[in-house]
Amino acid sequence: MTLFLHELKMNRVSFIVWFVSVAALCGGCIFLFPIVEESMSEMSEVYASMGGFSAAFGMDKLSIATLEGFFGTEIGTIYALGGGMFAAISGITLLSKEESGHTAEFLHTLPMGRCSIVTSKLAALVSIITAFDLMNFGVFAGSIAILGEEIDMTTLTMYMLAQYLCHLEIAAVCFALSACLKRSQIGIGLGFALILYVLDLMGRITEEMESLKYITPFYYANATDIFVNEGEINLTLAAIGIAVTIIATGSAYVVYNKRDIAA
Amino acid sequence: MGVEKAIEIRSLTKTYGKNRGINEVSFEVERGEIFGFLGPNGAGKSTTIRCLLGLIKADSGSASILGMDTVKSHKEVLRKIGYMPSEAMFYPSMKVSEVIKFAADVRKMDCSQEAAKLCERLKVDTKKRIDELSLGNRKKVSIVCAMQHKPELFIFDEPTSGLDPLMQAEFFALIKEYNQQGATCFLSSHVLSEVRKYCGRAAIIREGRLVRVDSIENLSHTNAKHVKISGINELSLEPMANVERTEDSLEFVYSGNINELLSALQGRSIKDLTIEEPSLEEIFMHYYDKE
Repeated sequence: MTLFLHELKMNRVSFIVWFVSVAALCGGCIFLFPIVEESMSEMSEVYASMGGFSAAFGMDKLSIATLEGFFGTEIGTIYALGGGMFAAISGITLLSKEESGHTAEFLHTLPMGRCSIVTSKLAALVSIITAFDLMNFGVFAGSIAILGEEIDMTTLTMYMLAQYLCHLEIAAVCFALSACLKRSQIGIGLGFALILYVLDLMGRITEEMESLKYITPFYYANATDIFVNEGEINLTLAAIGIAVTIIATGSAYVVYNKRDIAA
Repeated sequence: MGVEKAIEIRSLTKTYGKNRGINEVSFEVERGEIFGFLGPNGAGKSTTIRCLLGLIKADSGSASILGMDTVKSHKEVLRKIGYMPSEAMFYPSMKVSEVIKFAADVRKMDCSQEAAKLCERLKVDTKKRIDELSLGNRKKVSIVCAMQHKPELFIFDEPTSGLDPLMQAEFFALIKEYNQQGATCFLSSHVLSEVRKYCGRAAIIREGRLVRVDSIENLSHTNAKHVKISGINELSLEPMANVERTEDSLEFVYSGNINELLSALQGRSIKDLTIEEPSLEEIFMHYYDKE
């Protein structure tokens, strides 16, 4: 419990910065909707007929003149990227920072055991991501309510749930990478999240690359797909994502328990 | 069944790829001892300590601390140990008081009284942030973290580097006090004088292999003499070590028969001759030197 609370404290600044940034961007976009709504209705057909670009951002499926469409194509993109990068950064630094900051000798010579250390840090990671998604859910729902607009709350809830699974998956893979690394490599985490996002775009643009949907969690957590399907998530892809999360978490335990800790 | 040893190391071997680590290191530390662990840089002192603490896994061999296997009873072993690494590093954004409390909380102990006593004696400013501290002050925080729970065994890796002489004296005064209360101290050091002054026995490691384990008295005993000669700068004599020459002087450590030295000097035009006991550093140097 001590290490869990310590980790929450150590990550609070990063959490606040990322939450405020993402919430401000997404919340700001929601408040922009009534202003741009009229011009969007004139542009929506143009946006929907831009071939691969429209397909990549889901504008061929949803009209951006509606709040669902605007949320799915604009806010969904910002949130997917922002949340994905936050999850990656949080996961990739959690274990490796002890060696890169030369605090590993202090931490690992306290009577905890490596499994306890991994568990405490993992619990902190899950808590941080849960808080990030819940608080952003609150911002989205609150912003929409303040505007007096209406959105199907079940669909929004399912979208946030899919995003939560996606963030957990990215964080878990980065956490496993962190167990192997001796230095904090934020670049690797950010790069990993961005590559997954690009794979999602590629999988949507060309049919030949559609199988990429089995690799990237951004595919099953895509806002437009979930809003078009009225809250339905592709369960096969989500199940693969959950399996990856579990395997990555287990790998983190195995690797971290076995390897030598650098001074 | 006798009393378990404080530390028992049996054929411990660890290699880092092609690099040397330690090879078949075995020795024992009795309970209640202040035991020195000597060796030049890269000899394997820290590798041995890191194996004991479970930071790295030995390729072969085993070790037990206070009768417990260091791998199987890792957590329980760490509960009984107070460890101070050579590089005292903590979380930079934390205050000293938070670091000390964190170490006590992980042990699920209230060490506030002992910590306050240690902070007072070592003059630790608990309100400062870690990133505001010098190496010496971080070392002092490390001492508090290692001692506040009154462990049965202290493991110190080069503890006095970075500490000023007053703090070094206070540190050893604390060690002596805990030792008198029954604690064992395992001390890795470069500073031979402090090992001679405070330790009862010592182990010497060189190039990953244990060279000797003995009492400081026996380790310091030698027939070698420090010889200074003025008027000549060369002499045909064996064995000479640590030879230093100027234009008309010669200085060396001689461990041969003294009569052979006098014979070699016979007929040479020397201005002055001094034969004295070698320094502790000179005595230990031959353990450190490559064979």
